Amino acid sequence: MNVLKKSIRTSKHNLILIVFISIGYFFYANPEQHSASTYFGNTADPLGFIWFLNWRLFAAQHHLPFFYTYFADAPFGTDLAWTTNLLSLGLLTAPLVAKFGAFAVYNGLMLAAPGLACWGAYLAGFELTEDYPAALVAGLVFGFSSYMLGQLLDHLNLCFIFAVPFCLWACIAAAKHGWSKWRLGALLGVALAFQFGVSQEIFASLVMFAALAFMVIHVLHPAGRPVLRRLLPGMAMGLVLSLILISPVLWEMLRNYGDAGRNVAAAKNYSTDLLGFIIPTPLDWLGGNLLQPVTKLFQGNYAEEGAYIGLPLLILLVRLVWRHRSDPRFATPGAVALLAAILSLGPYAHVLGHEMSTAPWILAFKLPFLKSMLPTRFMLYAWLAIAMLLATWLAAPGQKYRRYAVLTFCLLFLAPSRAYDRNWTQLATPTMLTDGTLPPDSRILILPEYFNEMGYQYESGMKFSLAAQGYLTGGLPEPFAKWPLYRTIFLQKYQKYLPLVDPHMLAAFLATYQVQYVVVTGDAAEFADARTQTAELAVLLQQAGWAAVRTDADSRLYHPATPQAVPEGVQIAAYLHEQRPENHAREIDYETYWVKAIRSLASLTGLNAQTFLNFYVAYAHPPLPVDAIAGELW
Amino acid sequence: MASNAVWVALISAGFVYRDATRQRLPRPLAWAGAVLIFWIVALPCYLWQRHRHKPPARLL
Repeated sequence: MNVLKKSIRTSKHNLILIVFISIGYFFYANPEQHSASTYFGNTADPLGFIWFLNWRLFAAQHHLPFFYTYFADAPFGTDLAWTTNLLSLGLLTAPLVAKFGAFAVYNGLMLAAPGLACWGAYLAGFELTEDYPAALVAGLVFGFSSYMLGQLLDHLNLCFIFAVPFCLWACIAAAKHGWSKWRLGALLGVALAFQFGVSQEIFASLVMFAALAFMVIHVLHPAGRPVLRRLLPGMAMGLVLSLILISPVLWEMLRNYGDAGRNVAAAKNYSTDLLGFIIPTPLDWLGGNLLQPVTKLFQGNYAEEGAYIGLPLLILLVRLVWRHRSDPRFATPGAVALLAAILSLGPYAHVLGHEMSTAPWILAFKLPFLKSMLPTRFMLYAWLAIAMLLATWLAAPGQKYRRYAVLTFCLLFLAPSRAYDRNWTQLATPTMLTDGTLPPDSRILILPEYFNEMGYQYESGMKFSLAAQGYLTGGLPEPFAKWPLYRTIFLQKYQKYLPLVDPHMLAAFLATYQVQYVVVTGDAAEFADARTQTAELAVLLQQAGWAAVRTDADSRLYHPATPQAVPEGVQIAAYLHEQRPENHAREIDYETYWVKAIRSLASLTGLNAQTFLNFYVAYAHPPLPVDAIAGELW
Repeated sequence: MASNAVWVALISAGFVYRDATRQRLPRPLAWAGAVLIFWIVALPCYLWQRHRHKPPARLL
């Protein structure tokens, strides 16, 4: 009888998995006919994930290292240990990538991610309450939480988080059914190792929050301490097993620890705003667009705004926890959610993007390894705790329809906006990169920098390497960034200073790294309009002695008009000591302001401007001749 | 250079420690530490606590 019951229960769980996956699919699937190079996401981030999914297969087929590539940042290459390298997903899906391509596999994983997250939370909720509707709601709250809605915009590594609720389920099940430490350890070990392969950051934060939750339960639930003591060996074994399984990757990460600071964004720039808990972002249907002028002041970007709980749900949660504060079933998840929310504020609490106060993460944000976690993502654990709390409340004895009605009203405020859910993008790869124009193993540069280059490289069949660029890591790659022109050419913020770049320096830069071709993307209108980056780069390349050897509707191919000699070390050193174009521009602005201000002051006081200007030239030593600047401030 | 928020928290924590010691409030160091790491919440809490523990005003 028990076997039959268990079998029926497993079938129900499997059926519910199909329901969750279907909900995710129907909500996010592309309603339009799409090509093989259409991907789920609206930025260039997914192209990096697509490249990584393919890299496992490509590296294995060509006997290349798993954690180093010369296909980006050539000729030096780049280390992949401290990147979002999707190791476990890449290994598990390698046969599918070989059969269907990395775009299709990436899209499939993104569409499955919310359903799997729902199912994980559902399993944990069911184990906790034995109530199907309550567990279903817990699953939906977690799988379609603000955190998930944000990360589903473009971060496969951060939304494929099935292992997080799965670990919670394993611990609850072990406590409830008296599993042996070996069984719990094996399950946790495999789940943690898998999660590490999806995202090292989620693995680290999961371990940290598991430890914090353990301490919270120990403090708030004295009666549960014997159970915790029973679980501890299994949990420790799980952690040790996972560390053994991931030890090769860990070793690579430790060997290249210096990359951690370069590749990971600053914690204080990715922290939850104090108002982020109650103000909806454009990802939310109710009020999101209306309040966009406010939410755009928040730090980070909308993909990272996972904190929106909504005022009604927040009031409900506070009321529930306060009313049942002596009941550890409510107090424990409430405390964990509060802890995660406070830690997600980062090292400094912000209000509308302004730094207002210190916050508890200030104790940890400079520590090794912990500094590589972005606090805003801790809301994942707050959402899991909230889902468990709601499941407990819904399953408690008493009138239930009223609770479901209240919760439905609260969840209405979390409904996702239809404008953001179907964010599919078509990658338009320049024809010249895929039709065999470029000789095999060419070293090229693709400009302007829109961070699409990894997608282009994958689409070309990895036929070329990218010189001094490759959107696989964050930060500024060395030694390319030492060149004064690097930021101007590769960073959007400084690209307006392109006309100030010295063409000789560009020629030397391209020759130093033996760039064979430069592909400038843009249509005819962009090349014709002198104000566009495309036209400015075309002019700059011509001045640097490069000529267009092929012109397509979507791009132009440049090659040196005459063979370019590699500059000598002394010449390179001289270029590296030149002023950066953006600094030069700033200096010009500064001097223009001062010269105009001096003239204005002279005309207001009726004194001779030339005397003041002579004094200014004699003592301030301005970089420009003051006569070149005309006019006054007023 | 530390952030402005850190300086504000440091100065507030110093005042809180001094004030809590003078007022003979329990755990002055804990209050100062709390203000140091979570100024925006701990300082209002301290002021509220201080108000609660304020001795009755002397009439004469």
